[in-house]
Amino acid sequence: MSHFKVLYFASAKDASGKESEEFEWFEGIGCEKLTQLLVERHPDLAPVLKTSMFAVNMEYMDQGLSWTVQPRDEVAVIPPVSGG
Amino acid sequence: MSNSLSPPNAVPKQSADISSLEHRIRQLELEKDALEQQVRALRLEQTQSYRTASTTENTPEALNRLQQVAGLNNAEIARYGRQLILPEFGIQGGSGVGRLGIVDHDTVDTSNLHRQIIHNEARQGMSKAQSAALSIRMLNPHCEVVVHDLVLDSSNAQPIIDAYDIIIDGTDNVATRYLLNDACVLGKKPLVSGSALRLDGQLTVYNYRGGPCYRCLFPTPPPAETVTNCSDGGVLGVVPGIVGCLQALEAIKIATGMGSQDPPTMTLFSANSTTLFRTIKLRKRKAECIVCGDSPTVTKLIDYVRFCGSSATDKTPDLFMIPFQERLTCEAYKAICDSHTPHLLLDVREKVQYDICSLPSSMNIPLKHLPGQIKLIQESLGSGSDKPIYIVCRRGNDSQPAVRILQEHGVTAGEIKDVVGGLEKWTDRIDPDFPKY
Repeated sequence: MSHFKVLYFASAKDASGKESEEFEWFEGIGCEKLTQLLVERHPDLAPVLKTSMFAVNMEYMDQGLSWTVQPRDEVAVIPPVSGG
Repeated sequence: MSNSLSPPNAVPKQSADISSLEHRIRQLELEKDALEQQVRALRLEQTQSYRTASTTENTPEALNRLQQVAGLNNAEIARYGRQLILPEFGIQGGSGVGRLGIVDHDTVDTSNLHRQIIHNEARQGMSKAQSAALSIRMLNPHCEVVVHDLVLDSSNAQPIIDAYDIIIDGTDNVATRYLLNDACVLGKKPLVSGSALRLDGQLTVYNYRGGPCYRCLFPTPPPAETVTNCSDGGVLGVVPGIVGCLQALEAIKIATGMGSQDPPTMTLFSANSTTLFRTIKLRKRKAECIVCGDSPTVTKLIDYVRFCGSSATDKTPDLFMIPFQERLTCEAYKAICDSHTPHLLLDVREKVQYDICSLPSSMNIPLKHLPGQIKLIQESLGSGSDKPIYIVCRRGNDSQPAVRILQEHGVTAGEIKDVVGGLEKWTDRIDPDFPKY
C-alpha cells in the first residue's frame, strides 16, 4: 500500500500537534481532497488551511491549478508567519 | 578587637547591606555605560557630520532630496577589505549600506531584549528607531541612518518606500506585512521578508525579478483570532536573529546582483527539527494576483487594518465579551482575599505560564482544557456548593470565555466572575513584586 507524507509548519504544527505524518495514498488527491483529508484527521487545521499554502516535494503548488499527490510525495502545509 | 564588640546579629545585617550596596553599584555601572554610549554616539555625530533625519523629514519632498550615496572612501575600503576581495563581490559591490532607514513607532521594552539585540538594557523606554540608529552609528559611522519614528500606514508608507532601493520587512503583524507588500509592488521595490514565531522562521524575497508577491502566496489574510504574536506565543531569541541574518544576506545579494539568476524561493527555518532549513521553490508572480497581476484591482494603498481585521501592532487587544459590571477589579478581588471569603480561584493560563508565577492557592486549568475538566472543578468545590469561582489569566482576555463556559455548565450556585486586566493588572495595581513576562 502506498503512502504520502505531510509536513506541518508553524501554526499547522500546533493545530495538528505533529511535525509530520503519513497518509494512505489513493488516486486523485488534489488540493480540495487533500484539505478534506487533513481536516478529517485534525479538525483544528480547518482555519489554518484557509490561509496556508501547499508545497509538494519542496515545490509550491498553486491552489487554483489542478495537481494531484503521487505515492511517496512529501506535502508541506505552510501557513504565513507574521511575528518578528 | 572590634569584631568581639559587635552584637551577635550584626553579621547578617552587614551582609544584607553589602548585597544591597553591590546591587546599587551594578545599577550605577549600567547607567554609566549607557551614558558613555550616548556621549560616544553624539560625539560621532558631531565630528563626522553624519546625520539622522528626523520624523519631520518624512515628507516626499524631503525624501526626494536625499542625495545618492557616494562611492567608497579609504576608511570604508579598510573596513570592508575582507569582503571586497571576494571574487563574487569586488569593488562594485562594496558592501556597506550607504543609507539605512529604520521605521519603528515602538519604544524599547525589557521583553524585547532577548531577541532585538540592537537595543540594550539602558535604552528601555527610548524610541526603537532612535535606539537602533545609535547602535548602528556605534558599529559603523560610515552608514547614514535615517530615523522614521512613526507608525507606517497607507497615508505615509509610499514616499518612504520610494526613497529606498531595497525594503526589509521585519515587522510583527499581518496588517503591516500586506501594507509593505502592496507599497513595494506599487513602488517596484524588492521586499526581503522575514518572520519568526516560537521556534519557526520564514524568509522570502517578494516582488523581485518576476517572482511572486506576498499576496500571490497568501491572498487571504488570516483571521485575527488565528494569528499568534510573539507576546502570546513566545519566540526563542535566536530565531529572529537567524532570520534577520538571512535577510541581510538576501539584501546584500540584491544590492550586488549576486544570485540574480536564482529562481524565487521560500526558506523555512525550524529550530527544533533535525532539518533546520528547507527551501521551497516558488513559481513566478500570479497573473491573477490583485496587486501584482496582469489586471490589478489594488492600484493604491488601502486600509490594511480593515482588510486584515487586526491592528498594525503586535500588542494583544483587550477583549470585551462580558460587561464590566459583571467582572471584578483587582482591588475587589484583593478585598475578597483579605476578608478570607471562601472561594475557588481558577487560573486559565497555559501551564508553562502558570509555572512562571501564580497567585497562592489557585487552581490551574488552561482555557482549552476547561470544557473537559468541569468534573474536576465540581469535585474540588464539593457537590451542591454555592462557593463563588473567580477566574484569572494573564491579561483578562481568556478569563472571559472561561466565565461563560463555567456558567453554561452551572458548576456552582455562587457567582462566577473574572478579574479585569488579569495578572498584569495585579502587578500594576496590587503587588509590584508579582512578575510580568
